[in-house]
Amino acid sequence: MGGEGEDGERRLGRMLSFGIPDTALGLVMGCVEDPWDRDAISLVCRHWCRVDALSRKHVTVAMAYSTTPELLFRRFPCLESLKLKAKPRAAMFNLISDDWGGSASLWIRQLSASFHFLKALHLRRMIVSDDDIDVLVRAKAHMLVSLKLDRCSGFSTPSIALVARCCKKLETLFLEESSIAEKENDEWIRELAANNSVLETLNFYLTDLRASPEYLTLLVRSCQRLKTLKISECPMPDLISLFRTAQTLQEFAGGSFDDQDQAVESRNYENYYFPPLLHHLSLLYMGTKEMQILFPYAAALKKLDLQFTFLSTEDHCQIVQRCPNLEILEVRDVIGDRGLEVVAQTCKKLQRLRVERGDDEQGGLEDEQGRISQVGLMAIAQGCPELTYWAIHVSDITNAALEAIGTSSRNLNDFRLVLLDREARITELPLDSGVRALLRGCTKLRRFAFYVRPGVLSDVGLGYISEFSKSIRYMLLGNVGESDQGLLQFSKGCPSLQKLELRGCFFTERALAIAALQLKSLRYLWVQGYKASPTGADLMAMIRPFWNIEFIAPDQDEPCSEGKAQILAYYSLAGRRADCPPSVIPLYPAC
Amino acid sequence: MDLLERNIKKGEEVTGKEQERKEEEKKTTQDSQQGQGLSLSLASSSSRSGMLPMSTPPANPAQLTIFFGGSVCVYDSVPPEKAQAIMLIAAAAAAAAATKSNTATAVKPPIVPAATFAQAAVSPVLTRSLSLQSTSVATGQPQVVADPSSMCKLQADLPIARRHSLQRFLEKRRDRIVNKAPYSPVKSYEGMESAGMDVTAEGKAE
Repeated sequence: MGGEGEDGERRLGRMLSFGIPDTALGLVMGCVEDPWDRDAISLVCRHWCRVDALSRKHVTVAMAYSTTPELLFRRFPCLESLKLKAKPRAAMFNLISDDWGGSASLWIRQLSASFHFLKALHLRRMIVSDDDIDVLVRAKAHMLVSLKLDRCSGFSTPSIALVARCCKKLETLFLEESSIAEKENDEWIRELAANNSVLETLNFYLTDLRASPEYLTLLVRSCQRLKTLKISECPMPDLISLFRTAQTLQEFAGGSFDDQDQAVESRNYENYYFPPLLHHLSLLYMGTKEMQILFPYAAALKKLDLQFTFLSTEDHCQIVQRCPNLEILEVRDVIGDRGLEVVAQTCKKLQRLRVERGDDEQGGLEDEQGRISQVGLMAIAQGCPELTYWAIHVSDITNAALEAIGTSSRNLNDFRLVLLDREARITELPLDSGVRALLRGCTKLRRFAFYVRPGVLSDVGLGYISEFSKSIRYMLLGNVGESDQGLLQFSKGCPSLQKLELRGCFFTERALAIAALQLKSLRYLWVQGYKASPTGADLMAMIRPFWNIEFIAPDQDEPCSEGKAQILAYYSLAGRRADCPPSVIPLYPAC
Repeated sequence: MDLLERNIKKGEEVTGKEQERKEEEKKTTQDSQQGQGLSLSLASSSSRSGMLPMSTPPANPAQLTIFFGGSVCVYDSVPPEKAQAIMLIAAAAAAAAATKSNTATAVKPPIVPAATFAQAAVSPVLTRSLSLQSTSVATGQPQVVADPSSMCKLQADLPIARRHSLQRFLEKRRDRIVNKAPYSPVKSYEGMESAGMDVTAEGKAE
């Protein structure tokens, strides 16, 4: 079809475009925002690929080492927004050493020299130095609208002050859970207040940065458009005047309660006031006595985070029953089955539910009722049909509970279940049929995690996952399967699986290698816990072009460090990493 | 005590400028990476491009050359996978040596006199040291784990991990309680939250 070379391509392109001029084509494509759709569009022909590339506004590079800044710029010169991620997800669980890599330097240098339309930058799990921020600010200060250093490390507060001083158009400054060296107290907040009047989001939640109420109040006065304020620990009694000032505030997180040094007047909980538009709250260390400050505002709340509070099961019930408009709820499993039943009865609009793992010690700091079982699962499945994201840690489970999810939670696009080690005996094993029912019912599922214990999911169960996960792009599987057969069967299906994380499954190297080759869409594989082959050579069975294979050696000083070795493999156009620390051994490419 | 200490000389000495040049380059990269005087190189037709350097049979037979401690060993007809495996061990051993700042010995098991490399059989030396990286039982002996019960044991080695933010919160909570009542009996929570893998990342991204 068509002639050879450029001519032929142009003819083909025009034929496919029905004679539509490029400008029009670009405008039409501009209305298509979903990156998957854009990906499909770019594959039609070279012409469309080029038009798509020139009209693409945002790109997420899920693995920063999979390409180079130069390659990215060559394809997407008009990019306005870029998101980069580097360290494996396991870094958020303390499983990746600090020197693993993920430096943003090369990227920031390229961004500064080119990417002339860049307004928004989001770096996640990367290392950003003060120098890097300096380079970035020098080049982009006049344009930067959004800067997110998300779970990053390597920089200090003077750099934030620099950003505050120079980036006058900054509407979003996001530093959540980053490790930041504090050098000048919270002067950076004062700088922000003094230089910026358009800020809408400031987030330094879960950082160790100090924040004085004075400077925060100054900021709130100066930034009249502030909608989201998420801070680190700051005594709540000191923030009362801030809340009275910040009339536009919609989201607040942070603050802290400490009943040790509370003066008498601050125990008067009627003093607490939240702005009228506030619909999202996360309060740190809130206890039973303090939770009543929420009650007048509970009906308006759409998002509530109680993960870092000191509340009992009963407390959770008390709060949740007052929140019928909740769309997002995040708690620890201290909420218990009883609390989840209250959620199911009250929060009919719930879209996202996260139940994290609390303290394990029996009769210790966590409420004894703080356990989730099939009872809570079924209640939520039946009571909250709008759920799209559901992550939960359970202590007990049955097939019926998973079947209920498959029947009722039809809108789920992200489901993650962890079976904790608390109970020696699980009510019903294996869970093969339940998982099957869940996957067959939840057809919109894109992300799936199933972290259990040996015996919970057999090889047959793995086969079910493989068969019924048509759209799933990301999976985390822990302690699943019985033998290599299961993995091999698994890898024959899962047609959309791009990113796979395996932990504690102890399949052989050979099976892992074959599976990696068989999974059609796989572009990223992370494994911890596997049976190494006697020669270590079995892993080489997955050698192929553009497939980087890295071995992460465990910390030799740790007890029982054998078995904690990791394999990381990913597609890359950039070739081998040039910045591997001693613990990361690139196996392929060889040079 | 080092892995490839013994000189098993078989085949010719190193000849040819090309060979030397390649080895030189390999040596520098390996040195700078691992800081040890060990270098390996594989004589093959195309080693630069990162496209399956070992897929096409090279002009000369697959030859493995090892520089160590001032001597050079050349091995003919080494299958590519074996060579890769050897390099993997050496790299791992060197990495272990690098991370241990003040010990001289990087590889723990003693060297067992090995059959010559040029044969297809895997030497006990390789097996021993590779089992360091393996996930089998910590005794250091190579094992092929077939039965489910020992699989369970392996799996128990990897307890569920806790998310960093929650771990910090739980530690802070304990600190508060200890600070409030430093002399009241508080149960020991040590070793509770070491390692493991949690699942509940935000749904928006991973």
